[in-house]
Amino acid sequence: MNFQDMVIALERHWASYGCVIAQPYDVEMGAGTMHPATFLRALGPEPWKVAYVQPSRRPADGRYGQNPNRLYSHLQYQVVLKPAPEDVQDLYLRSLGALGIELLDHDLRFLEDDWEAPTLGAWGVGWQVFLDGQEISQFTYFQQVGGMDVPVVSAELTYGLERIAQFIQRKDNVFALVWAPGVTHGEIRRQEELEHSTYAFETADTVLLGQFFEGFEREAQRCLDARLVFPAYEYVLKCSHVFNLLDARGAVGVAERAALMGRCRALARRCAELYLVRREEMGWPLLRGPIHAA
Amino acid sequence: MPRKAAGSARRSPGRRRTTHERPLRLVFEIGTEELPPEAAWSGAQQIREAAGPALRAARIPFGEVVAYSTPRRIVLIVEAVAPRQEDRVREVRGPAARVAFTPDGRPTPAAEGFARAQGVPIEGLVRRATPQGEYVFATQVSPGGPTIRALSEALPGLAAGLVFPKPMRWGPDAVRFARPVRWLLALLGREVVPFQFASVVSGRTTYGHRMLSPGPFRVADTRAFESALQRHRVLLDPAGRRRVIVAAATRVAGEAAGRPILDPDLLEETIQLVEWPEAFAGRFATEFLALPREVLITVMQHHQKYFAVERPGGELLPAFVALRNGGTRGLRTVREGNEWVLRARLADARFFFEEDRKRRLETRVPELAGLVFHERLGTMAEKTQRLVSLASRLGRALSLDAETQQHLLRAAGLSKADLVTQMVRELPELQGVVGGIYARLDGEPVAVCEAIREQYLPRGSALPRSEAGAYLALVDKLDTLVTALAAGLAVSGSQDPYGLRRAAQGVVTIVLDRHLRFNVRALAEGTLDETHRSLDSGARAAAVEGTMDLLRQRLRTALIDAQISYDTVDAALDAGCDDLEDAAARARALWAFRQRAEFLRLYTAFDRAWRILPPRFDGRVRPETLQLPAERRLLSCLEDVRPRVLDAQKRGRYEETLAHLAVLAEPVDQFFTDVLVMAEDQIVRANRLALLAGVVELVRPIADLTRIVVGEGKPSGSS
Repeated sequence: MNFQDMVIALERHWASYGCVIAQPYDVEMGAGTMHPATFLRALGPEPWKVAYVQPSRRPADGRYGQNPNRLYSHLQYQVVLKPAPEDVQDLYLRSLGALGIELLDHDLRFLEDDWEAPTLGAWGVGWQVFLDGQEISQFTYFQQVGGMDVPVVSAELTYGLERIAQFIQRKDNVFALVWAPGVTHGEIRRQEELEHSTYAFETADTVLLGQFFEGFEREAQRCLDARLVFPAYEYVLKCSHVFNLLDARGAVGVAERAALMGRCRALARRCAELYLVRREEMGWPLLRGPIHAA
Repeated sequence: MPRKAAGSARRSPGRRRTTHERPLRLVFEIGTEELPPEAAWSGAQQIREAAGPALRAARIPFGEVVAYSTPRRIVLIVEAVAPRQEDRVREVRGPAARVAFTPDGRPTPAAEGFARAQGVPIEGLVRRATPQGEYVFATQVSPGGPTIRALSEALPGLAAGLVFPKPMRWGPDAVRFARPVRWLLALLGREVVPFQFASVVSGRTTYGHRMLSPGPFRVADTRAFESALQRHRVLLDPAGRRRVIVAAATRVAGEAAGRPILDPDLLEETIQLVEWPEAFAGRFATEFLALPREVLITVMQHHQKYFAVERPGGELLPAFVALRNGGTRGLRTVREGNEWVLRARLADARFFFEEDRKRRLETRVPELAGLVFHERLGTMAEKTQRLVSLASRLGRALSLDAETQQHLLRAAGLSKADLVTQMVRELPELQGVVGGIYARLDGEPVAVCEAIREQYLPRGSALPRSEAGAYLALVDKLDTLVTALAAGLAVSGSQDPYGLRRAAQGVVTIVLDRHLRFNVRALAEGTLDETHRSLDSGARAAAVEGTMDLLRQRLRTALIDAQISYDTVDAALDAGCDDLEDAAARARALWAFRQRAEFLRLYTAFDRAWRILPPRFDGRVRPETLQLPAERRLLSCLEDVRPRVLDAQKRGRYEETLAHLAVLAEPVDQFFTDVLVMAEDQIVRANRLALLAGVVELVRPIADLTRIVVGEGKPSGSS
């Protein structure tokens, strides 16, 4: 199965289950969890079912397109089911069937793994899912988001698309993956990897990035003061990405590192609190009746 | 982590069956999503331990109690459960007999009122003498109900009582558990015990193996429970899975002409990762054998949960043994998949190894400035500098020979450099080990490599074996203690978030293992003076005292664990424990001496002398004013014994020291018999006190005998 067929299969699978198929968010972020469709929607009592692809940027993981397994940017397929259905594990296993994985021919394990995102004030417990010794997904029951206990527990399924594709296509090198008939991952993404790695490790203007951080933080605060959750949250995402760039460049000192992360977390928390206030004022719109029936 | 699943038999003592109905078997299964292995082990152990008290509290007679766990279930099985509870018999005291009955024995209204209130006939009241006089008693018998009803309350209580290190919520219910509870099977014989827990209703339905027998199935009778699970490809008993895993792993490794390295931790974990174990052997390319053995084993064990395979001679084979959760179908695909994954992992490791090896280890030391040790404790570069300085102080304190000292300093300087290698970043559990390997490849002396490798020991029962390794491990921990306490980090109650107790334990273990004689306090003070110049004197003193306090606590525990009575230990430590090994030697000597007859005489003499001395007495003996023979005799004995005591003490022969001191017991006794210490004449009195002070001063550096509790003298864990 080529890469894009995998994505299409997952989209169809989760759409038919009743998920909203959301689009990747158009702000840089380090993980699919940071997409407002997860971070904000996981808050409060409103039910929610969503699935989407999200490019995840990890500047420090960039390897100039040279390492067969490391990428500046990889793709996560993210599913959030809120509240977590009782048969959520079975739902997940069936989705593997959609990828052509016949489970009886494989060895599948749910291995204990707790997840934490300190910049989001979020944590949960769950598993890494291993297929024949390869980690293919992360499975998490959210316990806290934005520093607050969640009133309704969401199940989050994160598929590492490149990893699964390498496993299915038996490619030792991520760039050798067949993305679409006749086109490889490397042909599409290698230049981008090289340039982003070069930028993150060599070119980035750390003074300017530091100013960006300050500016984005101020703007996020202004938005929060103006009760604008989504614009504020976008600036939090930008702060977080700028922090990751500075970190990759080795420009963040020891004490500063913890301080910058703390500032991101404080902003994320304010966004979460304001989101809850705003949703409550609106009467929790998604609580009313079946929004998207299975 | 609890290693035993279950199994110890318990009998409820002295229970009579209250009915003639046949006893029944109870099966209570908590069905869950995949439990962390530790939670599975501990859940079974907890429910087995809690079951007996809970059943007794519910007055349910029962027989043997066992508990099992798999990744998806915690199961309690109780044999020979009585179908009915025992009757509850309760005696209530009523009015005094003289109030309840007239002198001719007829009941008064007081007796009638009491009988009515207790619901017993008046003839049922009995009179009995008590320490307060004769009283009237009523005996109430409430007959026991059906056990199944009592279990409806007891079983959810048992489930709710399980405690897990990181519990979670998953549904509308506020219940917390290690992982979501998805079904509850609760059967007494053929009957369902009805109740609800975590929004799940109990029943007779359970689930087999997730892949091999996915649907639910019903269990008619508890007798068939284990066999039914087995038919649905679940081996319930962890001990059974262990046997299967060990046998299968050994068999498939044998097919690869080797034997599996059955790492105990991995084995325990694997037992709780599979319900139906199936082993297979896979291979990897021989070229990867060029990687260090520890790296290969770590990648296989920690990251892939495979058992490494070695030849009978001990060298690794390019093979591994993995356990699959169930079935032989597609086993070839599974093996190929695992081999493919391992190949990628090993290729990564080789890449890191080759990258790391492009530079000598020592060239990485400057990079440690960018690596935090702890937010408030600075960087690893700073830690390295402190270690070098502390190692140099320790070397001087121990008068190490020049070569050992040189090796220790070199190892201290290189000790943390592997933390900035790619290999340790990827495989953090290999810190120290990788440094040792790279140092060896750089051509560093063997002693330096060994010291780097052993710096994080002791771990479990593994102690540093090399001399420089022991010293480096010691200063690594001492630095953590002193620096953390200087920064205001502390131990509080049972909490030890910075691992300070563990560090203190490590120092004490190494000191005692190698009998290292040096003054820890002086070392701690010296290093703080050098590395924390700006620290104010209060904080500095607090850091030193805090360090000594933690070390003393761990030393005390270690000595009590070595079967020395707590009061003996306290007596020795109160005489000083700045030198830990010396304090331990005094405690051991005092303990040995305490088994001898002279001990009690020495103790009594010391105790009497010490009690009569005013606080801070510092008079000197003036021999010319001594009047009585007993006085003169005590002085001459003291002068006779003193050089022998001091000499034995200097040579650290404390039992001998105590034997010399015991010679003083008799003259002290005689002194107290013949001499009035608190004489009217001030000069005479001061002189007599000075004589006794001479005795106390001689004993006090060995042990503070006032801490001895006469009659204790038994090895004891109490405090």
